[in-house]
Amino acid sequence: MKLKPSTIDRIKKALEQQGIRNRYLQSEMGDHIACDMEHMLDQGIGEEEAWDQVFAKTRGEEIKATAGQYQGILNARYYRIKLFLWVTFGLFAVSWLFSFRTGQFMSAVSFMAMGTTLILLSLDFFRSHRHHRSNIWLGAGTLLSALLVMSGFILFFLVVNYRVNTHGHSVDLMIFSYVILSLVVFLYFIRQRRLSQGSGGRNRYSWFIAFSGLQLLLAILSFLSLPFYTWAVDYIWILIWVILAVDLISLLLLIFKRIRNILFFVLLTLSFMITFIHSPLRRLLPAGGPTQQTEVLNYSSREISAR
Amino acid sequence: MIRPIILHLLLQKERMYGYEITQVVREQTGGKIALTLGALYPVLHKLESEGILETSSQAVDNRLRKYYTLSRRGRKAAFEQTVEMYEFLDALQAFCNPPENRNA
Repeated sequence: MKLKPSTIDRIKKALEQQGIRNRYLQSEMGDHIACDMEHMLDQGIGEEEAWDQVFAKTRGEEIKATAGQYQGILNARYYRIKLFLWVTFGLFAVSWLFSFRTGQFMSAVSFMAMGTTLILLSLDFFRSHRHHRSNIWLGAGTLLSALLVMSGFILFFLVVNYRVNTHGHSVDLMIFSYVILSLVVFLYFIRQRRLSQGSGGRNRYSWFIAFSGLQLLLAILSFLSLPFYTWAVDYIWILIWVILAVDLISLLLLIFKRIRNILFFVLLTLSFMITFIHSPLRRLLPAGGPTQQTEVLNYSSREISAR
Repeated sequence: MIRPIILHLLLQKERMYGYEITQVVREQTGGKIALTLGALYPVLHKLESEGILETSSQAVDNRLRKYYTLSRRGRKAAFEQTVEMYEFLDALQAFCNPPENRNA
C-alpha cells in the first residue's frame, strides 16, 4: 500500500519541526519513514497507528544529531567555494574603497578569484552527475562562465591600465558570462522545484526562480545593448542602476530570510562586480577616480623604463 | 561495526537505499541487529563524503529515493574491511571458545 502525497508532506513537515531543514536530507529520511509506514500498512496496521509507531521509535535527539552531522559534511564540501567567494568580495571591496597603487591589480585578482569560485562550483556539479544528468550541462555552463569572466576582465584590465584596444570585447565577454551563469542558476532552480516534494519546497524554489529569472532578464537586456549600443548608449545607465538595485535588494532579502544558497550568492556577486566596474558609481569611490588609473599607468611605465 | 556491514551488503548487492539496508540486515540477522535511522544515515553520509559510496536519485512513489553504490575506490575498501571483519569475528570466536575449553 502506497502513501498519499499529503502524508509524505506531513512526514516532511514533522522532520522539519524536529530540526531537519536541509531539503535533500528531508527527502531521504522522509523516504525511509514512508517505507517504514508502508511496510506497516501492508501488515494491516492503520495509517495513524503506523505514524505513531514510526515516530515513537525515531528519537528526536538522533534526528537532530543526524541533521547536525549532515550539515557539517555539507559545510566541509562547500568550504572552499565559500572561502573563495569571501576572498573575491573582500579583495574587490578593498580595491575600490581604498586608493593605493596596486588597487587595480587587486581588483584583477578578485576577478580571478571569482573565476576560481565558478570553476569549483562547476566541479561540484560534475561530481554530482549521478544525481541528475543535467548537472553535467550545468557544470559545463558554470565552467564557461568562469572562463568568460576571467578572460573578459583580463581584457578590461588591459584597456583601463595599458590602453590596449580590445574593440569592446572585454565588455562582451563579461556580459556573456553573466548571461550564462544566470541561465545556469535559473535552470537549476526550475529543476529543483520540479523535483521537490510538497508545497513548502515548491514555494521556496519559486522565490529563487523569480529572482534568478529577473537576473537572467537583466543579463539578456545587457547583452542586447551590445549590438544596439548606438541606440541604447543613453539608456544603459538605467539598466546599470536597476541591476545594482536588484542585486542589493536580493542580497538583503537573502540575509533577512536567512537563506544560504551558495549558487545564488555567487550569481549576485558576479552580477554586482561586472555591473559595478561599468557603472558611474565606481568614480565616487576613492579608488575609482581617473587619477588612480593614471597613477597605475605611470607606475607601470616607470617599471618598464627601469628595466 | 555498522560501516563494514554496509560495505559488505553493497558488495553483494550493487545498489541499495537506506530503508532497504535496514530491512536486509534485520532479515539476515533474524531481527538481532536493528539499524535505526539515526545510526544508519550518519555512516552512509560519512562514507559518501569520503568517496567510498556514490549516490544517485530516482523518483519513486511520489518521492525521491536516494540509492547508494560502491565507487571504484569503495570496492577496494569494502573488500579490505570485509576481510578485517571476518578476521575480527574469528578472533572473537577464538577468544570466547579458547582451545582448553574445546578439549574439555
